[in-house]
Amino acid sequence: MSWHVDASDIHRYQEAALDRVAAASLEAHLTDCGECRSLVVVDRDWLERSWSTIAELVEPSRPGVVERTLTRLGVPSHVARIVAVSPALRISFLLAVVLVMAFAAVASTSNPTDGTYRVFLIVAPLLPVAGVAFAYGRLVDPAYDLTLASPIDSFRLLLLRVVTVLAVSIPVGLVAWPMVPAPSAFGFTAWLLPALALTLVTLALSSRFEVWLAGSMVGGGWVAAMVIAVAEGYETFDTRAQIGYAVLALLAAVAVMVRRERYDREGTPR
Amino acid sequence: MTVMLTDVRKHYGSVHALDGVGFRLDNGITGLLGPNGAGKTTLLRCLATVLAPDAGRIDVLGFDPDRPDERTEIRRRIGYLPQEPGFYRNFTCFDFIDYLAILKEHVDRVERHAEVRRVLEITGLSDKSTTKIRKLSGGMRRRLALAQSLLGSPGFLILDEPTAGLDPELRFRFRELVTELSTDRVVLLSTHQTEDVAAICDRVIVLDGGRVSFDGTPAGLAQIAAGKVWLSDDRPASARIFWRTTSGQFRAVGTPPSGAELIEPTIEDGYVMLVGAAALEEDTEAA
Repeated sequence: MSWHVDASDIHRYQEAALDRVAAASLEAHLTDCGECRSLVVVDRDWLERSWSTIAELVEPSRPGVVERTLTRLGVPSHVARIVAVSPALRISFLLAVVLVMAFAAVASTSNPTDGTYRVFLIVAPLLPVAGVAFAYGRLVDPAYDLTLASPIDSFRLLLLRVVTVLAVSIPVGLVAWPMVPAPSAFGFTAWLLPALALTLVTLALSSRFEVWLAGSMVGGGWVAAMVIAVAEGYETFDTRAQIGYAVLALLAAVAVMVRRERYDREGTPR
Repeated sequence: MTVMLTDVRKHYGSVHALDGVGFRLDNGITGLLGPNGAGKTTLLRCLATVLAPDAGRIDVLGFDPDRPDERTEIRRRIGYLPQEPGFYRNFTCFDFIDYLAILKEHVDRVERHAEVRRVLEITGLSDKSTTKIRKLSGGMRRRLALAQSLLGSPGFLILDEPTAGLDPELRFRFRELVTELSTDRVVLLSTHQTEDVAAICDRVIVLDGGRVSFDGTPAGLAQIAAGKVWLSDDRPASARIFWRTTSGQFRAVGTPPSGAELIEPTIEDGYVMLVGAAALEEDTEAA
């Protein structure tokens, strides 16, 4: 560097008294010249605060729609972030829920007189089960080990994700339900209670098996039971059956609460 | 700060992954060596409170992981780098560490972000904070995984194969970093790299078949092969393992023939004598 800035110019620069062209020229010089830079009086605290403010604007990604909405609804920002990371909020899952519900609703209306409405009633409860199966566990969560080793309550995290799954799949089911030509005696609980029962049974079984395996077992068992029941002529969604689903949901919920420690780490607790 | 294990056992079916493991760790770096399937990762997962052992007692920094409330206390005080840490590939480095900081109960946003910046700075990833993880090289991902383990300045660092896949320069930087960190905390470093153990560990534990087969200093491990390492012009018949050196001679470990030109053993030689040549070959393949 063969020339240096006059000290008075630096003073004027700091007083914001230089014109824009001169200031830009001086800044370009300061970038390369340590000697002149050392003449600039720096408020270290201000500089640190400024960098922090800039970093705060640049580094964290802008929260997504779900996170922003939850925060606006009063959910603490860190909880909103945990919910937003849930696999159930991935576009692929949302699309799958909408498509499957739509397919089931259309299939149910193909011949309203022969009981095809059961297609919807059998398929709809499976969606939250699938959502739960892909919400937690080694197979679906890349950071599973890191999550288990963190102080956050794993059971609470799992419940948050299950609630997220239900919050996504139940409204879609509620929208699709009016299209289904089910007997007038059947309310929306005809599929909602089985959905809750199967979801809770999946949760209860996942205290013993991996969540995806528990979901597969419940899904497979449900379909097999429904096929047999329909073939044998049993009505699986009438009031008596609904009471059965409610009792099953209750028992599964109790089992989940009793075994909640099992979600906190792998292996049998002692 | 101490970590204690007493007669810890864990089996998977008929396989005894841990078969009565016991030792005590104090401040400083302890290297954990062992062939594949020796139980290293199982042991580290038990210490990280991810896995419950079948029997035995573990005490981490004065807390019992079998008690749920104390387990949470342990999790607040440990840093864990798993062997295969998973990432949300579409996250930026900053967002990933930020999310894990949330899981580690760093609730205050301003303080949490400062902590995220601190660990990214330590691991040399500050300039990658807004880069998506899927765009990072394997070595950078390893550093990112290390960064998350440093959140909250843990008193006990559990590092499973931290240098796997790192190039030599990054390995040296890692050694420098872990050495700095180890002054006031317990560091347990599982590795296949005997050079790492020789370079930075005060102590080395060798796990073989779920049991501790050696517990001592790196020099002590090397001494197991004292008088059993030699140079030979011809292929050595009595060697457990041998290879041709750049000088054209064979370096052999095993039972030397009479009159053999004995040389100073290394940790690797001691390790071979302890666990057998087959294990070393497995390790070399794994590394």
